[in-house]
Amino acid sequence: MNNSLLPIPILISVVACVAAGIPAASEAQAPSDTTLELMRKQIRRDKFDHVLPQAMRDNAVDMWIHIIRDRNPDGLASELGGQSGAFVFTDRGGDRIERAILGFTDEALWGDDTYDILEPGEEAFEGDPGWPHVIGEFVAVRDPERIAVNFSGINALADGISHTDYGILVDALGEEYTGRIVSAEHVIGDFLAGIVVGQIALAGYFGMITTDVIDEEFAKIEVGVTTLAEIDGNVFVRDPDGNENNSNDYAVQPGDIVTILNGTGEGLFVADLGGNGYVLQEGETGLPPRVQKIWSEAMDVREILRDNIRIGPTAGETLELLSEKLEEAGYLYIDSDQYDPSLDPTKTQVHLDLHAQGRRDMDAPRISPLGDDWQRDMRLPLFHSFTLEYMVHMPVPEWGPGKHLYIAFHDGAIVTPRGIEFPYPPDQGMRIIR
Amino acid sequence: MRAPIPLALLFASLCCAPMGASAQGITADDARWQWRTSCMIRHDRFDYVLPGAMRRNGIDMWIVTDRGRGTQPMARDFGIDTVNGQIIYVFHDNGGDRIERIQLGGETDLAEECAAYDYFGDMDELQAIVEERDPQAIGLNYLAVPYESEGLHVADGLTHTDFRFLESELGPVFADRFVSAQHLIADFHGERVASEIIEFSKIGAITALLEERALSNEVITPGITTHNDVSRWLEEQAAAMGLLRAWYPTTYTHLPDGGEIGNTERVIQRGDVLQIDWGADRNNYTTDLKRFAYVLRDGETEAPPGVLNAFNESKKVREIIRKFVKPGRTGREQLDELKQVIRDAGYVYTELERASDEPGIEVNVGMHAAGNIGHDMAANLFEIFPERTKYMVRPDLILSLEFIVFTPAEEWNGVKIPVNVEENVVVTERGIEWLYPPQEKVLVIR
Repeated sequence: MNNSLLPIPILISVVACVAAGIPAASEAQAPSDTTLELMRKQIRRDKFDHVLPQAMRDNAVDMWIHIIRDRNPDGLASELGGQSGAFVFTDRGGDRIERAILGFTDEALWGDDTYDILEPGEEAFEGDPGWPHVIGEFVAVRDPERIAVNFSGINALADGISHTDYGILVDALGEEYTGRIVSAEHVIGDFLAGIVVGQIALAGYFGMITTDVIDEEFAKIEVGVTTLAEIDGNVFVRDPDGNENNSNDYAVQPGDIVTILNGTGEGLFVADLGGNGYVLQEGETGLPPRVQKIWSEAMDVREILRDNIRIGPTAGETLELLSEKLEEAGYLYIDSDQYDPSLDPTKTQVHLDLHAQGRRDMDAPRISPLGDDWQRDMRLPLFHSFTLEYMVHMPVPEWGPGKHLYIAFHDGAIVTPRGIEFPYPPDQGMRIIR
Repeated sequence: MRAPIPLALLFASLCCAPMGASAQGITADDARWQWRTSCMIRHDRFDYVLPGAMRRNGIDMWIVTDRGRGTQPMARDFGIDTVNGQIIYVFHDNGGDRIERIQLGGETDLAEECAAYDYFGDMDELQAIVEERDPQAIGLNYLAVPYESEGLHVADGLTHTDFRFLESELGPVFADRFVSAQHLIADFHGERVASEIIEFSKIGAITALLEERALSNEVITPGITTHNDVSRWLEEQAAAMGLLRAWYPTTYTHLPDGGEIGNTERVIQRGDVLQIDWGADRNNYTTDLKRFAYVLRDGETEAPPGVLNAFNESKKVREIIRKFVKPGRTGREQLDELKQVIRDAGYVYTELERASDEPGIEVNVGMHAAGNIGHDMAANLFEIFPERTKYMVRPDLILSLEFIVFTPAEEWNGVKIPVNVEENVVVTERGIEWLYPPQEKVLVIR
């Protein structure tokens, strides 16, 4: 059987499970470790085929060298499929990037056709990594103009090469090619940000699991007894002045809006999402008007975001557009997640942090005032996977000046050519806690 | 950014989900208990091991950077690795009986609860802290011997970017005082405190029990089960128990022609001499051990005499080594002498990890440090790790008691059956002591 065909039915079945709304994804429908491993392999191949060429060409890099010292943890080991070796990607023209591993690498890759070239060098058991003996000639034959190497001062995931290995690499390449070395931080950033369909399937799968987990956590709440610390996840409640209790010993009280964030995943994709619940007060049988109103406004904001996020612009440009659209719709955009009492007290304030989702440890592209400029400078790629994370601060005049209600959302979303689509249902409504 | 439960996710990776019956009990610690245990260990290591490790190596300041995202191989020695930024740890020997400990940057809530550090500050305080203390030798985690790397990655956690950052931040005067912390780290990992010996023994027991279950009829049906099935079973058990992968399990068969075949789709056959080499990782401790089994042929009720004899010879050699290895001398000194001790006991010592035509029972020894990773950064008695044989075997070193005994067997027409032995042990003043029950009998698959 051709391995490259294997995961397609797997992906279809996972997507079908999601589409059918099967609730117990963590039970009978859970793919085995073997299936997940096949999915990882296919995702890796697809990313090399579909994402890597553009990531290298957009950054004017014709060779990317990624050095991983054996057993030294590296942020890209999952994406590359190996935990040691010199992974060398060369743009030799055409629609495909040449993929090579030089030196000692994982046994699992020896028979894997993901890579075109496996050149062990003079590898010794857990010793001489092999690649220093062959990389000089390998590079010279290809004569690249710009060699990206995995060091970075801005993105820790792109900063894997050790000081020792950098010295070895420079010695092996010689002066001429050392002069062509640049940081691989932008190539790696774009490579990680590029999403393939297999990752979307994982987003749906892990999103469904997490949805169940969040529902289970809400079901545990006993009003006046259960503390935020006893609920699994990042759990928070804010008072009318914006003071927050977060996963601490505060016991859930009537009138609270409780937000639970939780996450599930594995090496190549982690789904992070949230849910909200309102605790009924004495005499209440349903959501009071103010809670209905903030929910309604939050859904209005969600639609504004959905209507205006598109592939192509940078995260920063998108942030600017969204803040304009929110203001046009009568909301106030705020840079920090705190109600600003100096602003128009009749208007609801909205804070945005639409960061990338998938790798928990890379937030870019990030449509947000938070984080670094390079995260806002990245363009939103096809199938950009991100968290629809926004916070709504709605004034409640009857409570007095500055008093407000707060609600936070944290749903996974994908940007397709059609706009924003959801890999699993976003927060469907305010849960009622009695 | 509201990060969904970074700690809970982290704990999930540490936490034990429901375990198999045989691994329950003392080993089934929850995430909170594991965190408290790791704190306790950190305190004791900083109190009892670090001062000597720094002073013996002439280093009065040790700076360790952790850029987060799990990229520092020693991250769990110092705390919970951060997901949100960089940490710099500074250890300074100001002459008393205690090393000053500072954490700059990173997430501090849990670290403060742990209280293993005297001061928590911001990264921009680094320069002032160094200037004020004026260290003469600043240890950094890069290798002293880069071209003889032999897997010394534990001591190579400083990225090139961070090296340049430290050079620039501290200026030329202090940059001239940078030295490799490789030997300091070897000493730091070469001596274990009581609490970490206990913690290691738990994961050792789990690993041994899982390997023994894997080499049984619970998992293997001769004629049906493949090597890869066995390895995958171990992977699945480990995942279910919240163990991290140290490396993919190696399940292999010794062939009667002297060869070896492993981790393939080959179906396990009756008459196979089977082994597993595997390790698991939990709470910063990683095991590396083997088990040995025989698949009964039709009509057999126990392993044949040749297999039993080979295993018994391995136990005799084990006892020779156990009584010989002691703290206080280098791995090199002990390995050279040990070879002669083995010869004096009537065995043929071989430098090869395969049998030769030489008459007699051959023995090859290759013992490496264990502890935080499978092949750790401390004293070895192993020819393939020449750098680490130079290190002193320190008291309470966690060591892999690893060797091969090749014994001729009639059933194999005189070809030697290899018994690959590997147990994780601790070296005390009395010699080698067990951390969990070692293999005493040939495992039998019916």
